[in-house]
This record gives sequence, structure tokens and C-alpha cells, in this order.
Amino acid sequence: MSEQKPLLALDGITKRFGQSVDPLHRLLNKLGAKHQDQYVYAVNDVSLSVASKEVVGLVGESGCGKSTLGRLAVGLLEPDAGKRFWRGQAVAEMSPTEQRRVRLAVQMIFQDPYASLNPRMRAVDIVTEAPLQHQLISARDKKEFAISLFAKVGLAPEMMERFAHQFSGGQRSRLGIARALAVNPEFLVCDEAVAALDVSIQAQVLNLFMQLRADLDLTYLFISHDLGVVRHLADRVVIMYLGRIVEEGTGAEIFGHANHPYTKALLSEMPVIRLERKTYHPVAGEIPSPMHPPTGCHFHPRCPQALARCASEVPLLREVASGHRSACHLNDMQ
Amino acid sequence: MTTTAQLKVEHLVTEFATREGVVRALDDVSFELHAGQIMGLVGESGSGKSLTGFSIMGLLDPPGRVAAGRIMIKGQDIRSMTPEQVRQMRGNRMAMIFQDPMMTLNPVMKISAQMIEAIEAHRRVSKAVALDECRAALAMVGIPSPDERLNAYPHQFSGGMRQRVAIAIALLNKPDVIIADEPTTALDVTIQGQILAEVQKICRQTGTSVIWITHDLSVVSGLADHISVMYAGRIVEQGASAEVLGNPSHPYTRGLIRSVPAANAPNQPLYQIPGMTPALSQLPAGCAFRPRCEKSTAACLDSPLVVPVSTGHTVRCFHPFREPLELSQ
Repeated sequence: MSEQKPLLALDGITKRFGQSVDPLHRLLNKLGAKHQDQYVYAVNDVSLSVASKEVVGLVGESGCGKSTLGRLAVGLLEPDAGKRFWRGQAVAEMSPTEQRRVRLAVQMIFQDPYASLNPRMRAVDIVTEAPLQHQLISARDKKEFAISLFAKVGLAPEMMERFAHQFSGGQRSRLGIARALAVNPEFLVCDEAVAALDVSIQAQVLNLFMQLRADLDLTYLFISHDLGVVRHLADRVVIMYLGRIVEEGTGAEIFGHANHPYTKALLSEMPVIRLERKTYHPVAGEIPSPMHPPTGCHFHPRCPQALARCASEVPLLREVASGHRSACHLNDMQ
Repeated sequence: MTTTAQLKVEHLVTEFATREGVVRALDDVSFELHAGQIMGLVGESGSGKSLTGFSIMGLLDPPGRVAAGRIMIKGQDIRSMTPEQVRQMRGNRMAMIFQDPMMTLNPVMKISAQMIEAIEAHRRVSKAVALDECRAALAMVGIPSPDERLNAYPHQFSGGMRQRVAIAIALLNKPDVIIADEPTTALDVTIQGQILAEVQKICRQTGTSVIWITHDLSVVSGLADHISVMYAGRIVEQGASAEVLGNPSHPYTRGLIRSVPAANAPNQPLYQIPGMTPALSQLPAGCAFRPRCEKSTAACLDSPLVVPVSTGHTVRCFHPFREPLELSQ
């Protein structure tokens, strides 16, 4: 990927949430109290690049920062540190016109289509609002434009005048996808876009994603907790744990030769259809609170192979095979 | 199988009286469960899997009612019992675990108080004995330092720990049957693995039978001894897990298995079942799956009967598949 400029790159991105010390406590601090700013590092020094026409799967459990990273990639959140690049150019340094162009090129599809669709708008208005606003289409072409969009995502044109609540779950997903496609994006960030759907409907929507990728040359950042879905779609897989990337590599590498103990644990717990009963050997322990993450490697309290230095030293992402990087001290042992 | 089944459900019918007429939400549901067995009850939203649990537990609210059939717990028919007898049995000989543990837990009571309440509702024991039992139950579901945790409130627990507490409460009176309604759906994969491990261990140790209700075939495939697949209020296929998953005979079961991403080769289009689940008030005549089925014929306009495929493996279909399903994994 180094030969070609990535379509979208995040470089050393950090996003923290929390509160700084308020004036009263600052005053008390002057009198000797020790109140400190409290921050949760939702995303901590993460670098990620996505090449054109690539599908990157971003996997992690709740609270690992995958959704925050997705929002940073779209530009819905501003990073506290680090830079976002579009086709090799830093977005923050672009002119406002260019920034608007990038904003249209990167679109997001949300998990809950019901919460992200205006209940008082008709489907036709939902999908044409953005292109009208940005003068990509004229008001005269609205109907025609909506019909072609609906056809792309497999919705019947008769549904155009309906409200969001009149659609079934799978149809609402399609509507959310249609809305994202309305501004001719190049890059789609899908945040748990199929998690709420039944298996048979999920299959239909996943097929639609793959169909659209082939038809429109789309690039995806596909965020999911479901390894089965990611294995199916993604060219490259990125695994996050508590705000950091712990491993990344091609789908074949991650699912064939996982390196990080956390990835291995995830894979062994990944539910797959099997014909024999399984004896479970789950990883012990809970996901720690991101408010007080463990020192060193965040995974060390749950890691079956933890060393003494794992508690003190943060492991860096290092290449373990071609196109496969992992952040684990065990790789220094061989 | 000479022993009496822990739970035997025969031809259960549950109906809802609505303005549009009587809707039959469960139709001819039958299965049996022996000691220590886990049965996976699988289906998509609206298929009636949770309703089966509610009907057995006697937790149906009007206008829903069990209209026909028998529900036998160790040979005793629940439907012929008085409401007081059913109340005595609920939480005692059968218990239910819900998807959201906060449905079970009272947010303003300490865990110890809630657990003791569950014991005292059914037995007269001293508080010390009850506390010992609570401690043992918490330890059984893998909660570290149960002594301290007894004095905590539900909000002090993480999601996975809350679900463990809910399971511990269900276990307190050593029930014959536990009905678990999507208990791990909201949990992370590593935490789900921990809970599944505990449940498997508990069934083996105590002989409690479990009905594990889920939409996820892959979760039950590693856990359950038997699988029953529901569609539109009917069980369309049931049998030993390996049988149902290895030789799925009903076109719906086959479609479900083939549409799971993990069962398909990466980047290939997934098999998709056309159409959507019908509304229960507008079920097609005959086989409810007919409009979505690739094998449907004119015969399917009649309701199919349950036919055996092999020992213990039955299917409700006129044109069942006979050959095993090859999965590309």
C-alpha cells in the first residue's frame, strides 16, 4: 500500500473525552488539593490507512473505540491529536470548498437506521435532502433521482412516499444506504450496519454492500463486533482493544495466523456452526474500564501469556509477516 | 427414553385476540426435554420463540392465551393447575433468564436481598442458610469474591456480571427447567464465551434442563444437544444438533444456515432467502414458508405434517431435503 497514496489515512489520531478541572477545583488546587483532569482516551495514537477500493474491517468489543475511530474517519469528530489525510492531503489544511468535497466523499451508515432517519420525512425527501442542499441535483429532477437511487439499493419506487416507520428493518437499512449513496461518495464508513438485522435479512444487506462495491468502486471501513461478517467482507482486518490497534493484517493472515493473544481469544470464541459440542475455554476477566485502563499492554491482566514487562511497557505495532502487524511483546522472544 | 421427561410440551397453541380477529402466534408446538439436556430454540424475530418461553412459564398477558395443548413438568400438566400452584412452581421448578438482566434485577435492592427473596418465596429457611445458598450460587456462575458482591447493587456490576447474577437467581431453587431468552445476545464475544461455559458446566453438574432461545444458530451449535427451528409460530424442524445442522431438511433451516456469513467462503455472495417473514395476522395458507421457498409446489397449499427424517429428527415439510449440506468453511 506504500506505493500508492491511500484514499484515507489517519495518522497518530487521539481522541479523548472527559472534563478538565473546573474553576472551583482549580482554586482548591492552589490551596494544595490535587484535582486532576479526567479523560477517557477513546482512541489513543492510532494510525490507519485505507487504500482506494479496499474493504477494511474494524473489529473490537464494546468500549474499544471502534465507533469513535469511525466517526473520526468520517470527520464527525475532531481529533485531539493527529491528522486526517484524504488522498495524501491533510484535510485540516484544505480550503473550505475542498473540505466540503471531502465531507461528501466520505459518508457514514449507522447501526440503527430507525434512529438515523427523520420520522417526519418521506423516504423521497430523506434521500434527496443532501444532494439538493449541495446542489448536486435540481428540485425538478428530485423524483427521477430518488427512483434511480431506490433501484440501486433494491427498494421499490412505490415506497418513495412512505415514512421511515412504514419500512421493515431490512428496508430501513437499504434506505440508510440510499441516503449515503445520494451524494456520490467514494468512501463509506459502516458502523455495525447489519448488527440489528435477522440472519436472512443480514445476508441480503451484506450482498447489497458487495454488489455496490463492485458497481460503484466504493471503499469501505466496516466496523463490526461480528468476526464472521468481517471475515466475509474485508480485505484487511484491524483489531482494536481499549483505544489501541493491537493487530492488523489481511483477512487471510488474521484468520489464518493470528498473532496477538487477544485476537486468538476472539477467534476461539467466535461462534461458528459446528456439528460437535464445543468445550469452551474462554479468556478470563472482564474488559477493563477505559477510565482506568491497565498500564503497559492493555490486555495484560487477561492475557494467558503475559510477561513482567507487559505490565510496564506499551508494545508497539510491528511487522510479523508481510502486511501483518501486531503489538505484542511475545514477538521479541523468538 | 423410559424416564419421564423434565419438560414435555404437546401441541401447544397460543392465540391473541386482536381487533382483526384471533391471531394464532404458536401452532402445534411440541418438544420434550430430559434431565441435563440443552435445547436450542432458534428462529428470527417474530417466529414465536420467546412466546414459547412465556407460554410455558405462564407469563402471557391478555389478550394472549394458551388455547390448546399440554405443558407437562415431570408428568404434571401446568394447564390443569390453579394460578396459585403455577405461581408456586414458577421460579421454583422452572425459571427464566431474559436478554436484559435488568428485567430480572431490582435496581434499588442489594443482590443479597433479591436472592434471599427468591428463596423465601418458595421455602422456609433461616437467613444464614439462605445466604450460604446465595454465595454458592454466585460462585457456581463464576462470580469472584461472592461475599463482597452480595452486598452490591446491580448498577455496580458490568453487563456480563449482571447476567451471571440473573442466572444465579434462576439456579437458587434448583429448578428442573431454565428458559433462557437470548441471554448472551447483548454481550461481547469473550464474555458470551464465559457464560456459555458456565451454563454447559451447570447443566452437567445439576441435571437442570435448559431451553436456550436465540436467533444465532452458531451460538447453539456448540452448546445445545437438540435444536428446534421455528418459523411463523411453528417448529419446522427438530432433532439432535449435529443432525439438524449437518442434514438440514427443511428449506428454511437450510436457508438460515447458508446465509450465515461464517458458513460461506469470503467475498462470495451469501445465500439469501427471498422475501421477508410474514406478519402472523396475514400468514399464507398451508405452509407459512411457501412464498419464500424454492421447492414449493401446489401441495404446499395444505399444511404439512411433521414427518421423520431419521431417528429423533423430524421436519414439517412436503419436500424435505434428503442430502447433507456441505458448508464451505
